[in-house]
Amino acid sequence: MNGREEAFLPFETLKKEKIMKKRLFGCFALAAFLFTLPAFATEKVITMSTTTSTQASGLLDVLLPEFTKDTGIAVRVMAKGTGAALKDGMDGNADILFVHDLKREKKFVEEGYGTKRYAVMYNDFILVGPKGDTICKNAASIAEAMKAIAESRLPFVSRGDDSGTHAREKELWMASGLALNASHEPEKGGGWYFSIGQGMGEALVFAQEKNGYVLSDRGTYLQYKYGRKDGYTLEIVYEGDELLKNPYGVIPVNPQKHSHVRFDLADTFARWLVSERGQQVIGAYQLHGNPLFFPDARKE
Amino acid sequence: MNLYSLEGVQQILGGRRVLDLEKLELEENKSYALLGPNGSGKTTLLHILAFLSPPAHGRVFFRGKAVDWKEKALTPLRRRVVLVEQHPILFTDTVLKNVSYGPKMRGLSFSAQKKIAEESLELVGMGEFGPRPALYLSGGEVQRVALARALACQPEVLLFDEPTASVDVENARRIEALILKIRKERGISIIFSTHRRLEALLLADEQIFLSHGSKIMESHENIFSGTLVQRGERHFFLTEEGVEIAVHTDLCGPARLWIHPEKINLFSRKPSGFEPETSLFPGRVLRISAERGKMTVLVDMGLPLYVRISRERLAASGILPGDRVSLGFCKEAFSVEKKPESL
Amino acid sequence: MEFFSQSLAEALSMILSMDQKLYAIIWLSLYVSFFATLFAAILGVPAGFGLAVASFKGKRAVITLVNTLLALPTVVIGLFAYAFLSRSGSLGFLGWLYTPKAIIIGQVILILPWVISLTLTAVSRIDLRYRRTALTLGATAFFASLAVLREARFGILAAVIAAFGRAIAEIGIAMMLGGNIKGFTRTMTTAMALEHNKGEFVLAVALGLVLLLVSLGMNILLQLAQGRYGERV
Repeated sequence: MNGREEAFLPFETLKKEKIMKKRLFGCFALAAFLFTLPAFATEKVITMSTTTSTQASGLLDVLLPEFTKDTGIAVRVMAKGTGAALKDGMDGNADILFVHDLKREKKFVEEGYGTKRYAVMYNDFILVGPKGDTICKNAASIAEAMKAIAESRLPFVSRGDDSGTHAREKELWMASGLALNASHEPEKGGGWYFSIGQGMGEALVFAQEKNGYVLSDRGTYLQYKYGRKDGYTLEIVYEGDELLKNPYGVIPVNPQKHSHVRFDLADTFARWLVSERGQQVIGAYQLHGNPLFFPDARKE
Repeated sequence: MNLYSLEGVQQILGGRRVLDLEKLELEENKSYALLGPNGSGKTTLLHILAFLSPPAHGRVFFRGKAVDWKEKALTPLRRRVVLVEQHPILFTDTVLKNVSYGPKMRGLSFSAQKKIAEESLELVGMGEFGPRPALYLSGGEVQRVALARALACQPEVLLFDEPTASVDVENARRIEALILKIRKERGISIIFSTHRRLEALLLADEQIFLSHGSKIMESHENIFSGTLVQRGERHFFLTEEGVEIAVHTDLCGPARLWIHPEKINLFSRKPSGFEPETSLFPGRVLRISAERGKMTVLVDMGLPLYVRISRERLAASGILPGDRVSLGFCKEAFSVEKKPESL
Repeated sequence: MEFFSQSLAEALSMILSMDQKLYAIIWLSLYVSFFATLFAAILGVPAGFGLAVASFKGKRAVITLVNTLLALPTVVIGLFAYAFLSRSGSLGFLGWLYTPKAIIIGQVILILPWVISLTLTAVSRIDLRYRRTALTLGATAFFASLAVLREARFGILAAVIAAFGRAIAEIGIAMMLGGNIKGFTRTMTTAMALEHNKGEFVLAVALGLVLLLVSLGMNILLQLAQGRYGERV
């Protein structure tokens, strides 16, 4: 009886030991996990708010991996309209902005939301319209072309979403000398002027449905024209005007406004973009055989 | 000509044959009681008689004409008879609107609808309830409104499914009185189902017994269905009518009780010093008749009980119809049998 | 939080000052969803009723199908209707794409299964005895159905109101089929999405408030209707 008990005891303690070990291991695993959490948080990541055009054009897919390779900093991208992107910057929801609305970008920096605007690159806007168009193709300038559309009351699709493209469209209307309303839209727009408040792709599709005109950035247009299975019928009806130039800037969000932003990392990204290396990557990027962005860093 | 003739009528519900009538004839200007326990096919038969559900097999004749069970042909027939369900439902509307529904469906003018509805409500003693929402009536009131609503249809035949089963005693008496009154005043044929034999005796000219969907001939004299329960040492038989009788048995569960009509003692007043072995019940004499040289006394003791007694003894007791009496049972009076499981 | 309360205050003043832009959007939303609900009710209530009372082969399959369609995402409906209404689609000649008509069509598709399913439930809940009672009192089959429909009226009304709520709160269809054209097909939800995209929240918050108010109003209406006859739903 006794012997049996003795034989039993070591087994019991062995079991206990095993349980203890398991528990210890559990505690250790938990601790390790907790320690790695801040490690995750301190990993080098920045959040960038940008316009849809940079993402839709595919540039970021080439640009960001190169940057991460060089610096080890990862970039999380939120693509939206320039207005919303700027709002993100003001609210501290992004560390850096990559947008194309020179006026508002300057205002953003002046108001202290951003530290500095770096001129990065430019691309250009184009006027897209129906195949048979002649009035725009024969126009002397983009302003004349816009005026001709308005006077013929041909369908014109406006982004209407406060995006950079929308802002540019308004400037072109102003240049056209037409009578405009308070929001810089043609005054007699009823029936032909469609302000749809949607992205570039939606606007292009909309214009095709209406067989009308739309101001587009070249990248998105090329993507729709050559990047899709079902072809896009509208063509470029005007391009090359100085007024259609579209400069992109990058602005790190000011850490004095929002202390939590990763200014150092963001600034590193901005400086990399305007460096020779960054500029070279941008210049080499092509979409469907067409160069899309032109390095612009020397300007400022 | 018969009011209804049913030939080989069968009804099958949920794959089960719930009604199987070789032949059933119901005469004009009579009142019939359909008797039988739950599930004996009473409601099913009433639905056929009301032209609400076609039988699976067989033919039904109404006043000599075969019933065509096509939906279109049924509406004119349905307008000649009306069914009051066991648990009548009233439309979510006022009482008056409910009662005038039948006249309205018959295309009567608005004023005629209103007049008939008000008269009908008056007849059931609910003349003042017209403008009230039907939703807030008590069970007995609902039953009476349903009756008024049926009467407003001015039917040739009034069909009732258990008119008193789900109301209190007071309302049950009222409804019984109403049915008698309608019979007398309007000459409407009435067919109603019930499981109260007393009610059947009181209201009907003829009784039809149903068991498992078939008509049976026996009158079930003094045979009662119910449940055997054990309380402490003693066993009781609970009848469907709710009467409780102490019996000597070892059985429990659904059972049938037969009370031997010749082994019942009848007392004109409560006897003193009666043997404790005997059960004693109060009752009232409904009817006395002579039968095969013996007197048959029908006593209401919550259920109808036939007592067979010699002419001499009855004369000696001086009992007359309407008298209050006491009934004494010795244990030999009872025989209990368990209900077969399959039934 | 401060940002939100500020937006809320501005939104309230916008609502109270009868801002024309705001009310045009609200009006369009109400208009479109009202007609979508109307058409869905005209089609769906009889369908739901028929489905509840009829017995035919494959009834269960039809009910399963309807219940499956309840989960139809708005974007799927948008895509589907777009394929038909687009200039290259079979209904393109109508020229309805990017008009309120297109939104109405899409929303009808969206809420029709809801109206059918909820009507079916409401009618199924009504006791069989209502129909039988109407019949024995001399009603024709049609009037008996009407009596049952009448008993189910609050359930059906609730179904229609729920459908309206879903129509007015959806965005996918209004965006894809309406195109969010300013002053023409811009509804409350597409306007909210746009304002958010633009980074401007005042109008969005105001519209959000109005959406809540509309839903509150519909529910009060339902309660009032039910109150007339007590607790029956």
